[in-house]
Amino acid sequence: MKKTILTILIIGMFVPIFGSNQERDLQAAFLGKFAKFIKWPDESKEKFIITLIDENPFENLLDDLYKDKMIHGKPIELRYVTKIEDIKNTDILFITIDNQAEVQKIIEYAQKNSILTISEKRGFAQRGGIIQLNFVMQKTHLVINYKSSIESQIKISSPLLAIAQDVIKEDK
Amino acid sequence: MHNYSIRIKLILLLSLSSIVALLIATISNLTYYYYDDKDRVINASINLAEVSGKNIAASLMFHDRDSINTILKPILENTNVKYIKIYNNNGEYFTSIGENNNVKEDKLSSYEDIKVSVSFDYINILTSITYSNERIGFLKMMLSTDDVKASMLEQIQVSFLIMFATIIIILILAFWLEKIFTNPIFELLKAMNELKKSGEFNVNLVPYSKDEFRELFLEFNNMANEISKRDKILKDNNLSLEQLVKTTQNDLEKVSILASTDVLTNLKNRRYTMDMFEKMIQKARITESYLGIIMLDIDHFKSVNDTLGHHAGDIVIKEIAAILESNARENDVVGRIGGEEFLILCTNSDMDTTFNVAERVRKKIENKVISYEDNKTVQVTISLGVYSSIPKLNKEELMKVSDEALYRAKKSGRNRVEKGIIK
Repeated sequence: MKKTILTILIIGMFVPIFGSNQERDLQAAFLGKFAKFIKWPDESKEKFIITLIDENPFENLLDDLYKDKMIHGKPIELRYVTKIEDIKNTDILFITIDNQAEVQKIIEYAQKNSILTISEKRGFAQRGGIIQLNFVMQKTHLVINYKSSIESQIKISSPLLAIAQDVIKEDK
Repeated sequence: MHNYSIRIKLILLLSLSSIVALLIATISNLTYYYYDDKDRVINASINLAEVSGKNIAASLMFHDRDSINTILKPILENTNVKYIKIYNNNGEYFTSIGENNNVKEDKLSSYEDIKVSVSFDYINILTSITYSNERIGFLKMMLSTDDVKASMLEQIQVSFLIMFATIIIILILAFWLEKIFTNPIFELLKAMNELKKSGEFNVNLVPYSKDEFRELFLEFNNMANEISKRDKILKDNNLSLEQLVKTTQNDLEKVSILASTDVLTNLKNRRYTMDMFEKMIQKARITESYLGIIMLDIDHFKSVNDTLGHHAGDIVIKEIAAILESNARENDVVGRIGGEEFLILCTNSDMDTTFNVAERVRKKIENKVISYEDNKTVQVTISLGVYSSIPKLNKEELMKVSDEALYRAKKSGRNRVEKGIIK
């Protein structure tokens, strides 16, 4: 009986770890894929910049995925930053910050500079972030704040909106 | 086929031609319809697959099976769609909807953008899923051909129904149209039969069309009229011929009479009398009856001619001939066989009867005063030799017996009758 309980506990400990790693891989891949459904107001930039602010949960994954790749015909540049000032000219911003006040500042900055904001934090989209990307029961769960994307002058194509579990069109 | 009437042949010809044409048209139409319908269904299926692929592009990109199922589910409302399988860009199975029995997780073996395979029951379509000109996966769709088959079956049923109705109309038309051809022919036949029965060639068929039958009718009328004219000529000629035959017969009779008659006396001449003599001998032999022979000669006729002239001689001969003719019986033959010699052949007359006839004639002539000129007369006598028998002798022998009796009458003083004797 004790052995059985011990076995279940051990399996229970490893499953989330396994699931988490897989989700990270998907998250890393999806960052680039979101770009296919987004149209930015300024298309004259020479590089396509993906920025991570605060912690980097992907380790070298993003480098491996996007090194020498192109998005919208532009070479990809990855940036890992900690300060809001460093996100200038970014196209996609992945936010891992837990501090809500900080996040709000970043969202406001991003809206003014037409930056696509993505985060896995709960309530991110409701607070003005554009895409909230979660995994529920190993399935993709998207919440898109359409109103925020309009304010950011970012156009999201309908197929992406179609697969979102929730699309925020007005202030809640 | 040769035994059928022209009416049946025409109906068969018209019906078969039309039915064959109809069959060819129907089969061609069905074949065209089948291929057209198949192409339409395949193109529609390809479009459906491509549109479905576009609709699920985002879902596939973000590995969202639920969205894919949600987006594709309405497609399954089309009962022809059996299942849809989605593969990622590496050809690995991602998800599927539809009939579970047919859905197996597998890996694509080929990476063609569009691949269509059609069997009798199913249409399989493989198309790539792209987004922004970039291939992100594959969609495999299997559709049932039930609708195509049902549509085809319906089309066949309708076609055969129309064909059946058309065949009925064709048959009715064939029965009607054949009359256009056969009525003039039967009209001609009827006219020919009437012509044959009546023998009257003055027919006038009225053509009721302007086609070749009109020419045929007119030619038939011309031919009949021509025959009528020739018939008239022939009849006229026949009448002439009959007249000619009749005239010729009369002439022949006349010639025959002339040939058998003595011109001066109108009695039978020698040749005819001798022919009759032969025949009467034969008849008497057969019937075993008597044949009487009276041979006579005018006494001293030469002196009549010499003293009174040939004219008076001829009158004497005529008068004697008339007496002989009037005193002979109906079936007796009276002939002049020489200048002043006569022969009377008496049927069924024995010696006594023959003798009596001869005697009666002799007396009549003896008493006859013959006027040969005004106020000038002459009387003559005759000598006669008679003989009668059921003939056993021939003509010449009988003539000889009679002639010898005549000779004895002359010798015995003339104006008398002597019976012939067989020595």
